[in-house]
Formats: sequence, C-alpha cells, structure tokens
Amino acid sequence: MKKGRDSGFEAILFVIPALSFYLLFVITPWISAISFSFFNWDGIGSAVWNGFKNYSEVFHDPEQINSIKHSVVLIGFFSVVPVTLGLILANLISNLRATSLIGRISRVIIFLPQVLPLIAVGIAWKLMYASQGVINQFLRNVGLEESTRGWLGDFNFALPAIGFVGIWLGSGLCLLLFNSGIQKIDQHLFEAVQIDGGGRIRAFISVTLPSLRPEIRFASTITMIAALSGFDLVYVMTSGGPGGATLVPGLEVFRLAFAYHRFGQACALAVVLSLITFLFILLVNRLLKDI
Amino acid sequence: MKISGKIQGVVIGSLLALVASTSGAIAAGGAPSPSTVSKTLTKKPITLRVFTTAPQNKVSEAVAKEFEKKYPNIKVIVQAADFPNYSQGIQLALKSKNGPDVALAANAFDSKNGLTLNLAKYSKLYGWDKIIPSTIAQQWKVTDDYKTMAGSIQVALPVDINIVGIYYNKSLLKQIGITTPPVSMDDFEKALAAAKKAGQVPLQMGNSQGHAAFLIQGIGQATDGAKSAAKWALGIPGSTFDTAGNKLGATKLLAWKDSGYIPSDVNSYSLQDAVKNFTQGQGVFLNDGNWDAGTIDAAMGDNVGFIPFPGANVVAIGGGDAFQIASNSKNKDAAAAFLDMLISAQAAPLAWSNGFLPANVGTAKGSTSLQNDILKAYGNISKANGIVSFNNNVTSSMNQTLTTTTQALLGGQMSVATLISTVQADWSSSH
Repeated sequence: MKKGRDSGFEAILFVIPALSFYLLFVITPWISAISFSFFNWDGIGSAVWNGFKNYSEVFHDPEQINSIKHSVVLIGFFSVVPVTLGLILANLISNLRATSLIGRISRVIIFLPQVLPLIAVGIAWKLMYASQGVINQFLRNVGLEESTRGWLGDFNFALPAIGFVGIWLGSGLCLLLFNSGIQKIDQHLFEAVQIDGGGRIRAFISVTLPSLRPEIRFASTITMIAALSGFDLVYVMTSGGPGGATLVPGLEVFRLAFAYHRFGQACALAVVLSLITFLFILLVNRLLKDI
Repeated sequence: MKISGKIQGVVIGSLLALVASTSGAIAAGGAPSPSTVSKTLTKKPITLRVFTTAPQNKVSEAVAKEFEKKYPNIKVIVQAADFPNYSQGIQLALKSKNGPDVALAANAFDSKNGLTLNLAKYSKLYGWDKIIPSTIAQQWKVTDDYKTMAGSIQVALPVDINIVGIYYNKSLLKQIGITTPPVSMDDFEKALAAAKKAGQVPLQMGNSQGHAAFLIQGIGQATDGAKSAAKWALGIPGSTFDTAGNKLGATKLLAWKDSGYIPSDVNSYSLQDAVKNFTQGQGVFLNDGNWDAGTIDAAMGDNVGFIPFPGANVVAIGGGDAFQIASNSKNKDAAAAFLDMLISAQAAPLAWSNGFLPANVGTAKGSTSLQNDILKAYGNISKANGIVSFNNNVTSSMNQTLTTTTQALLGGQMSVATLISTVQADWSSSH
C-alpha cells in the first residue's frame, strides 16, 4: 500500500532540523534587520522609533546612493562581461575534449580564481596595482611611462580596476559552466545546422544559445549577486577610497553599523540592497526566458 | 493544511517575540559612579581581565606581572586584538557578564550607555590629575550630554601619550644644503623647495587611509594656535573648522601636491607604506606620530630626527591610549589599582621600552637620539600648552570624512572650500 505524498505531518518532522537552522540563522536575522531598520539605534543603548526616515536617507545621502550606483556599474564587470566572454570562449574550445590532458589542465587553471579566498585575491591584486607593482613595471618596460599611476588611488581608474578583478574571477566560472552545458547538447542538432548550410555562427545562435539558457540564467544570477553584495574585495583593496569612488553597499552597511554606530540606518540600506538584488534577478530571469 | 498552518502561526509568533526582545535594548543612563572607592584591596583570590589592543598589550602584560607580585592573590589576564576589530567588538564585550574588568577605551562618547564607570572618585582618591597632563586628560572627560570633551565625567584614564610631528632624514637634509631643521612655516617651505630641486622626495606621505589630514591639522593649529584649535577638536559648541589656519592647511596640501612636494600617487598608499619609503631614503620629511618611532629608530638609528610641526605656534596633535573600568566588574577597586600602576613611575620604563611615551612623562628618559628628540619636542609642546586632540576623534564619522575629503582634494575632485564645509557639516551633526 502506498501512502499519499501529502500526508504532511511526517514530512514536516523530517524537515524540522534543517528548517529550524534556516529559520534561526537566515530568516530570524533577516526579520530582525527589517525591524531594526525602523529604529534609530547605536547597537547598545535604547532604540528610538524612526519611522521611514532611515529609508528616505538611503535615497538622499550621497554616500549611500553612490554606493548603490557603483554596485550597478560593477554588474557590468562581474556579470555581463564574464557571461559574454564565457559564452564566446566556451564555443571556441567546445571541440577540445574535456578528458584530454590539455583540457584538464586548462580547467584547473581557469577555475583557480574560484577556489582562492577573496581576501587573498584582493591582496594579490592590490600589490599588482601598486605604484611599484607589476602592472606599472610592465607599462614602464614597454615605454608607457606616461600611463603608470597608483591605480587604486586614482578617481577614474579605481572602480574599473576592481571591476577587472571581477572579470578575472567570473569568466572562468562562466566558461566552465557553459562548456559543460555544451557537452550535453545533442550533436545531431549541430549536424542538422551543417546540412542546412549553416556555419559556426548560425550553430551558435540557433543551437548553442537556446540550449544553454539554464546555465546562462544560473551564471548571471550568481555573478550578479556577487557584484551587488560584494564586500571583501573592496574592503581589502581600497576600503571604498579614493574619496568614496569605490564605495559599495556591502561596505557602507558595515561602516554605518560598526564605525558610525548607526545600526538602524545600516539595516535600512541592507534591506534596500536585498530588494535591489531581488529586482535584478527577477529582471534577468524575465529577459533570459525568451532568447 | 491544518498542522502546518498551526506551525506557521507558532513560528511567526515566536519570531516576533524574539524580534521584540532583541530590539528592547538597555536604557541609556550615562557612566555610573561607584558607591564606595578604596585603596585597600580584597585578600581573596580574584582574577582581573584586561582587554586592550596590540601592541599596547606588551606594556599591559609587563605591568600585570608587577601587579601580581604586589598583590599575590590577584591574577591578571591580558587579552588583545588589533584596533579596528577591537573598537567594533568592545562595547558588546563590556555588556557581557563575563566581559573585561579593565578595557582600553575606543571612543570617549561610547560611555554614554553606562557600560563603564565614571572614574572621577578614583581619580581624586589616587591623585591622577596631578600626574596626567591636563591637555591629555581632558580628552577622556566628557560633558553631561556625552557630546563634548573637556567635561567633568571622567570615562577613562590615559596611560601613554602620542604626539604627531615631523621626522627628518638628517643626511638628506644636509645634502640639500639645510643645516638646521625648520622652525617656521617659511623654513619648512624653503626646505621642501630645496629638496624638490635636488631631486629628492620632499615630504613622504600616504593617504589611502586619510593621513594627509595630519598636515591640514598641523598647519591649521600652528597658524591658529592650540587654544582655538583644541575647542573644535574637543567638540565644544560654537567652534568652526572654517578658520584661516585650516584653510591655509588645505590650500598648502593641494599646492604642495601640485608642486611635487608630496608623491603624486599619495592616495594609493598608506601611512605604513610611507614610513617604509621614508626609512629607505624616499623622503626628506615625514609627518607622523611617535607610535612609529620604534620602527623608524630601528631602521635609521642616528640618521633620523624629530621636531614639532613648524609654524608660528609650538603645537602637536596629541592623544594616547586610555583605560576604562567596566560597570559589570566585580572588582572595581582592584581594577582601579591596576590603572594606577599603569601610570606609575614603576611602569614608565616598561612603556618606554615598548615604544610608548608614558603619560607619567616626567619619569621617562631617552636611550636613543630619536627618543631624546621626541622627549625634547614633547617638553617644548607641553610647556607651550600646545597639545590638541586628534580632529579624527571629534565625531564617530570624522575619521572617514577626513579620509574621503582629503582623497577628493588631492585627486582634484573637491575644492578647499567644499572640504572645509563638508568637515564642518559632519561636526555640526553631532555638536
């Protein structure tokens, strides 16, 4: 005799351990953050009801609004470029057999940035961008002395410099995801394109791209979250400097809470950030529904 | 479904209860005064817990050993963290029932939540005001509203002194044809110009963490005088940052960068990078505090000197490490006795040998030429009543504001006038 799938009570018993952890460590802090966001609170003393003032400040304080703008710029570097680059590269190397030695070695190299802790990545890139770092040394050696600068201290280049690290971080992940996706595509589809007289580009547009839709959606979502919620890289590389040119919401939340002792304001920005993140993910999933 | 519906109700109900309980924090009541104070300590075996930052913990540990010798029934445990982590966690540690008895103060105004004692009674009992220079002590005395320094509620006891001045490379100075270190602003600018002409880095500086603000404050108070500069730095209502000195300071900072007196990529490296460059001969001058004297002394020996910031008034940015007693401490008298030992003549050499100028400065003797220079500079500044608290400490966001605005000024993104008004706006929001 088969039991009905929806005899709920036993199912709930099985779910309770995981659910209670999720409630305790994810949902509770989230709800606390929402409730704190309506108070004026220094983290220790008494909290005073502040209505929606914290939220209105998020959109009126140049520091906070700029941090949100910067994170939107970073989406380009952390998400759009790596996904595009990953697609192109995956298509180019799709003939390379995954089990061959070169295939295996290149996969390790490509995936390496994903394995390294972001703090270590940040320190390494900070040294490379420094006035006496390898990037400036290279420029000097090829006669581009004029272009050398302290990259992370330059108002025009600091944010793109951090963005470039995002490209380096994300492209490998996207490439691997798309490459494994391509391996799963039925070869007959490519043959069909060939028979119809289509070249590689036609095959890419008509077969590869539609087949990779789930991978593209997944890659866009996680890289976008990385761009919007980033903290470690910026904290290590610039601490938001110079003059706030690389300030991102994650860092600003930390600063509001622990340096300025404004927990309510920090929570309001955090809530706005999570809403923006949801919005972007929703948007991306809508857009990718019909390629 | 019935059951899950109920569970849902219970879960939401308990979550709301939890939120309600966590947001109902303790009421603010200011720093409490102990009911009785005494120099006679308990004979029972007790443990004192001291929380501090590195490298101050070296001094605290050395003093703890002496303290345990004097009071064999008391065990002292010293715990340390680096300053950023310490300042973010100390309030929660003080709130805990198992927190420290004695804790380094991260900020004078944090005491408004009543987690630490008003030390005024202990100060009177031990006569601390006779030992600690008043310009340093007043940085840890706040007014009743916990918004201004130089009040009557003593929230911490300073145990050592930091002063910011000018380090100079003796051989490089000679090489550019200057025989005596600069005293006036004119001398200083002439020396910078000579250094530039000779192909040297005139003034070494790192501003990725905002240390260019030292130069603005240095020029500002050397021009305006310590008395008016200190009012602003202590948060006394009615003061303004918009003074002739501060404007000159910001203008000179920018002009010196444009003339190549300061490295052009100053925004991309830190004070620590600047110290390293200076010790390697990259820089005739360095604007820094005596907390780096140990490092610089070890690298440069007799080739380095230290002078007060050049200008019309003999002044210095000055502060230091100060300690609080936790309201939750069960052994407040013992904690106070430990504080008293930290500023004793017995502790002074222990502080000095670890690179800290003891607050009980009369007992300090230099053992290197740099230490002698620092003592001499401090003596002159102290005689002129020229110590001014760090501008960075006047509000909880001022350090960040000074970092952001000096970086913007040096990066060509902000005018001197906007810098002055932005800094004053931050100040006005708290005072």
